[in-house]
Amino acid sequence: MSRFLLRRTFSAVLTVLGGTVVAFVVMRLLPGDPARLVAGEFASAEAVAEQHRALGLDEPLWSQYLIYMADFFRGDWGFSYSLGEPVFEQFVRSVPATVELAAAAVTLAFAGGVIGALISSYSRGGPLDAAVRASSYIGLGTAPFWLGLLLLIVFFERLQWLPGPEGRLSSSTAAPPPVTGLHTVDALLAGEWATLGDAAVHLILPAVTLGFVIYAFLVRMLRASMLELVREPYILVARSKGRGRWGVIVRDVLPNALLPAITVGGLVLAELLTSTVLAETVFGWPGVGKLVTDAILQQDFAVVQAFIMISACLTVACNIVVDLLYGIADPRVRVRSS
Amino acid sequence: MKPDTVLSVKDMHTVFATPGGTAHAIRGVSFDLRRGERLGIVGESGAGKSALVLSLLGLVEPPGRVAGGSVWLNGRDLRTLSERQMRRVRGKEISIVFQDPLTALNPVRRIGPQVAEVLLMHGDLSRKQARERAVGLLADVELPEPEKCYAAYPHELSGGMRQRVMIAIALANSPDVLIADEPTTALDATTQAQIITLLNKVIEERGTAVVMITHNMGLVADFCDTVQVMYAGEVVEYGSRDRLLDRPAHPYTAALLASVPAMDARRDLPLPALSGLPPSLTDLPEGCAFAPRCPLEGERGLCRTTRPAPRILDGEPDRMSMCHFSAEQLALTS
Repeated sequence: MSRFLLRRTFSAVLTVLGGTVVAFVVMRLLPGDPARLVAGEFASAEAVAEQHRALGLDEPLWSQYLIYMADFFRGDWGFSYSLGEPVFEQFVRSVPATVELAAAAVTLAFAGGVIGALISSYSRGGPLDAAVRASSYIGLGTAPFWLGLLLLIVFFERLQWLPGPEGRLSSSTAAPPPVTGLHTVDALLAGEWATLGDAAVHLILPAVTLGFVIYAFLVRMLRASMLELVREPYILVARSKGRGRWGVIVRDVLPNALLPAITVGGLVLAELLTSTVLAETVFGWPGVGKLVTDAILQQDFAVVQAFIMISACLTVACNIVVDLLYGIADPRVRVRSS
Repeated sequence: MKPDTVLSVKDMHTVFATPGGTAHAIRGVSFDLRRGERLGIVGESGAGKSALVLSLLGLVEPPGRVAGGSVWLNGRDLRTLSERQMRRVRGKEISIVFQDPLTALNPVRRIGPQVAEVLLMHGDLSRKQARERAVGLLADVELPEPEKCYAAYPHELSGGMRQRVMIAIALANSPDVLIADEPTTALDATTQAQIITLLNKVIEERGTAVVMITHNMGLVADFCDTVQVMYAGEVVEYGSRDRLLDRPAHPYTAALLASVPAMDARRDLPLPALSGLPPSLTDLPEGCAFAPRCPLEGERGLCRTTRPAPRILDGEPDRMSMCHFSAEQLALTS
């Protein structure tokens, strides 16, 4: 197991390094001189040259890369000129918001996906099955930002059940004392129930918007593999022991169907942490997605580059976690790797 | 029904809806099983053996359904029971060992709980008691280190060991009837012999009646007391093992027996094989279902037009053959 882990970690480090090299080179190939942007539109040529040197842009590319990497792992991610503060601090501020949103979305999607797939395989071919399948088609065919707007119109504007696109908390609510940065968890830790409620209702619509596609994808996959597994001989054996149809689906089919879902779940989570842009924009959610879109529009290279680094690390980390989880969940893999 | 009958199947009909029409998988099967009796059910693939197993357990799922008949077990007709009541019968009064032990155990769950759960479902044992009983059962089926097997995953055991586990599961609640659906087909010859020896031992201890589904005539000769031959969803011949194997009264049985390779057979001659295929179950012939392949048939228009009635053979009680010309067939072998 430890050898497997070692090999896996080694290849992960290589993948991350490869990703950063590509990102670094591509960023340098883009038009636009960061020194000019930082110095300002009307700065003199000397001022720009001065800035060029200050940013280290006169060094050779490989040396720039090494300096950047060394700084990155020391927590110096560069300076965001558009917001006038270190990039690292911006991420520290916006990552928890995105993590909270993504976690809520994935939780909702998984819960919905498992329940939907259970219902579908129990009432195969019936009206409930048809409803689940229809919801899956809708989810896969709907653009998340459009769904977000639709949900806002219905639940905020018309019904006024849920708050509008005002971010993570109402303006009248103070953020709970930061521990994890996730408002719901922090409020829970501090015992501030009103804050917890406010943070939770603010999470609902963005999480549903973001989670619906994942749900649609998951339910489709789970349903297909469960309907396949129902035909396995061991399912008939379980039935012949005296277990009911529902019991068989929950206890014998589902555990087997969840194995491939682990893989999908990890990839989806990695994808989500970096692709919440549209949902964050629609709901005014102050997360990484919003930070990066703003940075791209401002040509704020330092932020974009840090984002690419983080994305690469996250994707690879999620993959490793998935592999480890798979090994724990599937006894057949456990034996092979030990 | 004889007094010591445990299982009595009367005029069972099972159909499956297929795109090509209704497939009549079981067409009026009836038989009685006495306490401790070992009944062999033989026939080609597609003869309706597996459909019969599912029908007995009440596990025929759409697009199939049991269209008629009754299954009497311990004094009540299983067909009239609700699904809830049926669940208390399965695994307790009637249980099954399936053909392929490699796929009959849930791959992500340990062996032990898969044995213990059938005890927990049908009795009020504590988890600890069920565990002890399960380990005892694994020892009963002669698995080495039953404690270790209890904690093992299915893929860690060999095919023969897994089939022993399946037997432990099937016999956990000492059922009245054990259905063995080709229990040795997927195993190699040595393991087959071991599994049959084990089955012999454990069912003798418990006095379990067995329905052995197989296409292996050697297994029938070794293991069964009575034999029932199925063709196209019907029982075409029934009788005690010795009478039926020595003097088949149905030409289909005779043809099946002729195709069994014998140790003293001449090796330069091809093995006699029955030509043709079983009829399509969606489009059965009008007369005898076997008529198109029957070596006896010749000019007999009767077979093509009239379905033969099951007839009790003269002077042989408990002997039935569904052929217009059983007497001729018997005359051939006597």
